[in-house]
Amino acid sequence: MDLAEETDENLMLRFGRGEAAAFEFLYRRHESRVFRFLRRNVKNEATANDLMQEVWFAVVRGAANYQPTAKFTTWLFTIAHNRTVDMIRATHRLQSLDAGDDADPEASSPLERLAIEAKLEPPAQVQSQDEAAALLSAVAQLPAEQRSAFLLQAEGDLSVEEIALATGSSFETAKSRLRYARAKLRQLLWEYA
Amino acid sequence: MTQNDDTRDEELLARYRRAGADAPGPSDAVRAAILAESRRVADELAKQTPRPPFDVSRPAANDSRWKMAAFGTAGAALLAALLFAPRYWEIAPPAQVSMAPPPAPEPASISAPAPAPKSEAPSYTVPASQSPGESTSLQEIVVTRADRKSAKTYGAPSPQHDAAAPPPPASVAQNYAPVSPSTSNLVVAPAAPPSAAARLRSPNLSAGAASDALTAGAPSRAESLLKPATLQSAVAQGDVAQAATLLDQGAVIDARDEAGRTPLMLAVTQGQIELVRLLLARGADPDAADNAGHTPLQQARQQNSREIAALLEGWQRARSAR
Repeated sequence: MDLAEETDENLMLRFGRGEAAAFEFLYRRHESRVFRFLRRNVKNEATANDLMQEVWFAVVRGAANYQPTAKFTTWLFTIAHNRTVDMIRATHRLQSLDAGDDADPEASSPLERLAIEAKLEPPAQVQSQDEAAALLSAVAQLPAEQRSAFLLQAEGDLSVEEIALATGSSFETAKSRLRYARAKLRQLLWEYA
Repeated sequence: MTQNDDTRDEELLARYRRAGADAPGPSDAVRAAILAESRRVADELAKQTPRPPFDVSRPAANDSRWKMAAFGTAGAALLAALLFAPRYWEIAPPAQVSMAPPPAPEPASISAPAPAPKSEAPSYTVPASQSPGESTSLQEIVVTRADRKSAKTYGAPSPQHDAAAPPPPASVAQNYAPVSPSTSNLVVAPAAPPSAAARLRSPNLSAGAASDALTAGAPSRAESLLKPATLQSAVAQGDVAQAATLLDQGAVIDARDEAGRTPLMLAVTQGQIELVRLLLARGADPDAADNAGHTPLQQARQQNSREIAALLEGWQRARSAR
């Protein structure tokens, strides 16, 4: 069967049998979405590139034991989410060592701390961008868990159940995060307009 | 959530995707590294040849177990043979053993050794080369199957046998006589008495031994086994012919039992006048008294056996006349 007609799961199984072309096709199918997910969650592009490499290396090395028990994209974005959280925790640990007591004591998680940092961007800078940039900037200003839930839906096409599975939260929590994220984005866009 | 909210959510997602559509992808170096790693892993996965199916035509690694099974079976068969074969060895061809001591004309002349003290182990040993006729003190003992098992070697009874059987009085030992000179189950021992088991079993051979002999296809031997083996038992059963046979074979005519009774007394007690006549004719002592001091004549009178009493009186008169 032509690789273009294969599902993600079949491409992964074929790669597990040693078919390098199947993986290449799979990678190109999801490359942009995964990178955008990572790029929106971290502060700079270099970090996003590092995460990109880690995520796909994990996919490659897990091919031998891959079993299509769930959608491939659910598995792929679960890996991406976990790697992002790990990286943010490591970054925050370094920042805590550097900043000492300057860290925000109210921040309860690394993602929240990252979101707080995003909020510190000057509003004037947001207002100077066009609508697309304003929307992306608004996404960056979301709290970390809400942003991650929104990006998993927008980039990974995951359902609420799959988002809950990928983030290790309950269905209601994932649904609530998504609702708050959309409401805030609409509010920011309305303010921009 | 209303339909209006769903529409607004879809619109928001569409605007986001339009905004980020032209976002740059990962660097070329990252892309190259990922694809290179994928090719390397693909090569490794391709080299992993699938495990071949199980080959039943190849000999098994544990094929040599048949030796263990074969030797085990042979060993078990050998063990079973060793356990059961002695049953058939019991009915063996008659051995060339004939031990008939010369008849003792007088009870007083019998040279039987005094019974050994209980604390001492009696000596049963006789050299195998010694012929039965060389010693007049040898007694012939019919040993039953149980005794044969413990006395496998001719003339050398087992120590357990010796220890378990203190010798009875010589008068009792003298009473044992062989059934037949050619019978294979004769074991010759010195003047020492037989074991307790032999004393108990020899007068009346066990039915098991007789049935074994019959089923083994040796009727003549079985018949001989069923006959009384001692003069006492022959008299007790009233078997005149067997008593005569035993006397012919040299049985001691005045051998005494534990109560000091001779076969003549036993015949008188049982009213067997033919036996009384036979024993008197063969030289039985009509005046021999038992441990209580009763003579055969007194017993005949007590039992009001007039014929026997008259017979005894006649023999006493003839004897005193001599």
